[in-house]
Order: sequence, then structure tokens, then C-alpha cells
Amino acid sequence: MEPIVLAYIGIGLMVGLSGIGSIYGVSISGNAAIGAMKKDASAFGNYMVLSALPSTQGLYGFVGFFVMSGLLSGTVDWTVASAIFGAGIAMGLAGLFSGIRQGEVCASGIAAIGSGHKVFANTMILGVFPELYAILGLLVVILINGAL
Amino acid sequence: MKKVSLLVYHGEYTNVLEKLRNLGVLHVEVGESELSTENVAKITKINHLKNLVNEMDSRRTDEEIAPLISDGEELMKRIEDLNHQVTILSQDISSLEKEKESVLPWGSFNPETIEGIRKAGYHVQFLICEDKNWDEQWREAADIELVNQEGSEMFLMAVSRGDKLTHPNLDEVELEHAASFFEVQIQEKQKELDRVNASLDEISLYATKVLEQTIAQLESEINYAKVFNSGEKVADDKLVVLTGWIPAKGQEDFTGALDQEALVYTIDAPTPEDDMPIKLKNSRFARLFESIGELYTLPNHKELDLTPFFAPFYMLFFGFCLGDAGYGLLIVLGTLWGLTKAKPKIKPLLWLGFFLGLSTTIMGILGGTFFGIMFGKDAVTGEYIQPWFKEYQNYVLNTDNLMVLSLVLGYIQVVFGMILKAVNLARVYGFKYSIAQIGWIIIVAIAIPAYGLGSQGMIDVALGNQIAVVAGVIGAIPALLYNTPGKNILLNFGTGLWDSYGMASGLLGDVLSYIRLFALGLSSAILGSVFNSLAMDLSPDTVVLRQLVMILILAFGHSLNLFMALLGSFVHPLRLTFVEFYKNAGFEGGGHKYEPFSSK
Repeated sequence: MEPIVLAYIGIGLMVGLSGIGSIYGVSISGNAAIGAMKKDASAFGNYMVLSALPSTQGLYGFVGFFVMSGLLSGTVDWTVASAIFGAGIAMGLAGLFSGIRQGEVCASGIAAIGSGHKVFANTMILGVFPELYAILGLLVVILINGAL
Repeated sequence: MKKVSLLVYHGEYTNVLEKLRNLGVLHVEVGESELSTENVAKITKINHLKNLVNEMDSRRTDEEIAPLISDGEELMKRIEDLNHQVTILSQDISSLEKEKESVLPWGSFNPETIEGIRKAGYHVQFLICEDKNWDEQWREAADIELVNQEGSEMFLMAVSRGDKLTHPNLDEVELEHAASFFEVQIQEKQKELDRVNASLDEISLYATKVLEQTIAQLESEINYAKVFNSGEKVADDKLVVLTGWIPAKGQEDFTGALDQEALVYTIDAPTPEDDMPIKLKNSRFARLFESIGELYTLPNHKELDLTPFFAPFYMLFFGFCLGDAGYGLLIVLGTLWGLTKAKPKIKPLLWLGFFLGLSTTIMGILGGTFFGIMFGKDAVTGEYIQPWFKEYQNYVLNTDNLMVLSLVLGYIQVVFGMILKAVNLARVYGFKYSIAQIGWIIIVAIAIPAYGLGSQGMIDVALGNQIAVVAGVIGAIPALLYNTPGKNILLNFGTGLWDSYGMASGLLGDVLSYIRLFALGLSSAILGSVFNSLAMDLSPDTVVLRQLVMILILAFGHSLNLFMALLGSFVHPLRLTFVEFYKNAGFEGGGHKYEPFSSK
């Protein structure tokens, strides 16, 4: 196997998994928003902002690809390929799980707002707790890229 | 704040409340109690009125005029009545449309002529059948004519004498009116609907003001009821005791007014157990950030209000996360434009937006991006147009610098928070309670940086280590041995050890958390540049089309990126403020807002 294959698998996992994380995250919170609309439709602005929070993980994955795209031209050796693969796994897995979990936090917040509790700001603060680890994943991508 | 207790004779109670409301300075302590059914109904009505206000706002197309109906109740009834008419008329029109649709295949005919033929002893039938079921034999039973055909459906008319033409494959329909009849009816209803809509449009020109007055009236009624019920009855219900708070500043005016009414009252300074309301007092700049602080909680009455202390940091962090001069300018121009149009109530929020935009612009210039374009870089070749731009990019704030800067900023804010905690402890409990905290500050703010700078070779290693050791020892003595004044020294030492574990793990985590500023800023800059290169690469080579597609991609991409980046730049600094900064500043919060009883 050529080293470049491993590098591309890494990129695929990074963009794919973090994308899936965001897809799950925004759908979980989006579903909760639709449910909450039945109780209180006037807070749609709040629901929308909270539902949009988990969409960043997918973007981080994409940014990660862009950061590493410079390494993918021409031939790469095993060191570079494994570095890309490792960075991809780090970003991809962190994005996947943080996206899903952030979606769940936001969904609970949306349900609570729908029931008349004023927890918009609190949900936003709690919602970004899981996101930090996706940011750290992206940071790893940036740092590995810088080190190569 | 001063605590006020009023003793009122029950017969005078309503009068006194009226006077207090006109004064508008007393924050009455209202207990948590269930709302009466009457008040619940009022709240429902307020929500309904708010919906009507929204509806009228979206209808309004012209300048406001003086109200033609100034009574809120009457106006509400009128709007509801007109809305009801709109619903009924729309339903009528749609059912007439349906009937017209069903008659349309038969073309225009005169029902009177048909009636005439029927009177002459003939059967006139309107029939529908599938063309595959057509039977030539039917012609023998009646004069049958194909009027229209739509797809496989045949629309037939049959005239016969004697027996009617019947067959299982033939569906007979009764047509009483031709399409033109329904058309006339629809037009009439439509005219009426237009008339009703016109009256609604007319009402919308003044409704908002009247309805909002009614809402304010209802709200003040609910408020009055709450205050009324909060009075405590004593001496066989003959006397009512009302407790509340007034700002210390306006005390003379308030007592003067009470003396005029010959009321019995006491004014006390608050005791530590009292849960008094909070009225924040900030400079014009910091006041803009109060709305951000309120998202979490107000400070309790014992502690410092941290708004002026987090405001500059929040502004800086927001700029750091968004970090694009183009986006920043967009926000600055947008908010400035908004300021010329906005109502006074929204203006502080727009000013807040203005400052956040300003900080974004500055950070964008320092970081070197404008709508995702790296300064001075040629969009096609990626080369720097001017050599000094390259120097600028390399030496002012490149990626590494930005990362270190985000951590340094975090470190500064954490240390700043710790200093605030020491000040707060000294203020509330006395200086000796803040000594241990000062020890920690010496360790964190002097010893650790000295060691760090030494080991990085930025200052002389030996000197750095010396400073670190001296500061460490000076700090550690109070931190370990004097953290709970008045307690046994061994107990103090135990608590001190536990504190050091918390400090070591907490400090590292807190400071590292600020690295998100860098990652967020970089990711929004990179996404912006990705959309720029997409617009360059994907556009076709035809002259006009190329520019069109480019503009489309740029507009879509940058609005998406701006929205996501704005969201992140708003939320992440919030977390840094409320979690990292508030924690290190020992912020407890939980205060409630000073809301004087007034008629608004």
C-alpha cells in the first residue's frame, strides 16, 4: 500500500466522522425544537440558535482538511501519512461524539424553554462544554500540521 | 440600599399604595405566591394582545396616525371581529372556487334554458363516464352529446323523453348553476374581503400604540395585585406592614414624601442576612455589558459587580474569535446604520454590537484577514503583493503568536479574577480572610511566570529561578498556613494542601480553555478563505456568468460563515467569562434586580 492511501483514509475519517457528529447533533436538537414549538412557538429564535450550536463540529472537520490539504500534494512518506491519519482520527472521533452530546444538551435546553423555563443562556453555556474537545481535536490537527 | 418598613392602617392601604406607586422608588418585597385566577387570565390576555401587536405590525405599511379607536378593549374586539370575518370569507371563497372547478368542464350554459326544456317534458342529464366504458347503444336511448373531455373522463349531456338514461358506468351530476354564477359570487365575496382587509390595514396604522398601552395597563394591574398581597396583616387585620428597599441615594426625597403623608415607617441599614435587590451602577461603557452579565445571574448584594471587569475582556475575546476585519467592518457599519433608526430601548444593544464589531476589526487587522483574504496576498498566485505585508504577517501575529497570545490573555484574565477575589474577600469579611488568596496570587502571578520565562530563555535562567523560589515561598506560607483564619494551624495546613491540588489542576484547565479563542479565530478565517477559493475555482469562464456565480458563492459562503462564527464568538467568550473568570473571581451571584413599584 502506498502511504498516501493511509493519509486519505485519515482525511476521510476526519471530515466524515465530524460531519456525522454535527448531523446527529443538529437533528437531535432540531427534533426537540419542533416538539417545543407545539408548546411555545414564540421562542423559535432561541430554539434555532441552540439547534445551530452542534453544527460547528462538521466545520472543524472541514477546516482540518483544509489545513492538511497542503501535505497531500505529491508523494508522502509513512511518517507524514500516519501523522495525517492520526490527526484525522483525533478530529473525527472528537467531532463525532461532541456533536452528538452537544445536540443532546441543547435538546434538553430547548425542551425546557418550551415548557416555560428561562434557561436559554444557561443552555448555551453548558452546550459549549462538549464542544471544547472538538476544538482541541482541531488544534491537534493544526499543531501536527505545523510540526510536519 | 436601605430597608424600609411601613405601618399602614388598613383603611388607608390602597391610598398609600397609590402614593408609593407614584413615587416609584420602593422595591417591595414580594413573596413567592400562586397567581390568582384573575391574574392568570390577565396574563393570557397579555399574550393574546402581544400576538395581535405582532400581527398589526406586520400589516402596517404606512406612517402611524392618531388612534380612531382609543379604547384597548374595544379595539381588541374590533380586530378579532374583523379577523373572524376574514376567516369566514376566505373559507367561503375557497369552497365557491371548488364548486366552480367542478362545473367548469361543462362550459357556460344558461340554467333557465335547461329548465325550459325540462318543463317541456324532456329529461336533461349531465353525465360523466370513462371513455373506455363508452357504449354506442346509449345513443338509442337518448340524444347524447360529448361536451368536453379531460384525459379519460368524458363529460356528456343527454336529452331524452320517457325514461331517463341510466347505466352503472354513467355518473349523473346535478348542475344548478353555471361557472359564471360562481364567478360572480366569488367576486362579491372577494370585494367584501378586500373591504375587511382595508379596515384592518387602517386599524394597523394606530393599533400598536393602543394595544401596547393596554398591555402596560394589564401588567401594572398584575404588579399592583402582587404588591397589594405582599402586605403582612397584623393587629387583627387592622394594620398592614409593607417591607421594601430604596436606593440609599434618594432616601431624603422618599422619607420627605412619607413624612408629608404622616406615615409610620422605619428605615434600617441592611443586615448580612437580608436578601436585598441589586441595582447595578456602571459607567456608560460597562453598562452596555450588563445585559451579557444578566444572561447568567446578577451578583448578590455582598459581592462586587464584575461587569466592568469582564467587559473589556469579553470585547477582546469576541474580536479574537471572529478575527476578520471585513466582518468587523460589516458589524460596525450595520450597527451604526441601525442606531439611526432604532428605538431608544434597542440602542444599548446596538452600541454593544458596535464595540464588538470594532474589536473584531482591530483583531482582524492584527491577525491579517479581510473577508478571508490574507492581507496583501494575491488572490490568484497566493504571493504577497508587497514584501512588507509578508513581514507584517510573519512578525506581528502569525498563527503561533496568536496561539500563545490566546493563552497569555487567559492567564491574565485568570490572575485578574484571583485579584478580584482577594479584593472581594477583604471587602466583605476583612483583610485577614484575603491573605491566603494574596499568597496564591504571588505564586501564580510571579513565581510561575518567572520560572516559565527563565526556562524559555527569555530572561536569565538563574534569575528566573531565584525569583520563582522567593515568590513561591512568600506566597506558599499564607496560602498553606493561614487559609482559614481562627482555626488550628494543622487544620489550615490540611485545607492548604487540598487547595493546592485544586489550584494546580484548576489553573491548568482554566488557562488551556482559552486556547479555543485561537482555534475559533483560525477556523473562521480558514473557512472564509475556503469560500473565496471556491468562488475563484468553481466559476465558469464566461464573462458575465463568471462574476454572477462568483458573487453568489461569496454571498452564500460568507453569510454562512459569518452566522456560524458570530454564534461561536458570542457563546465561547460567554463561557470563558462565566466559568473560568467567575470561578477564579469567587463569584457567587444569585442577586435579584431592583424593580421599584411604579406606574411605568
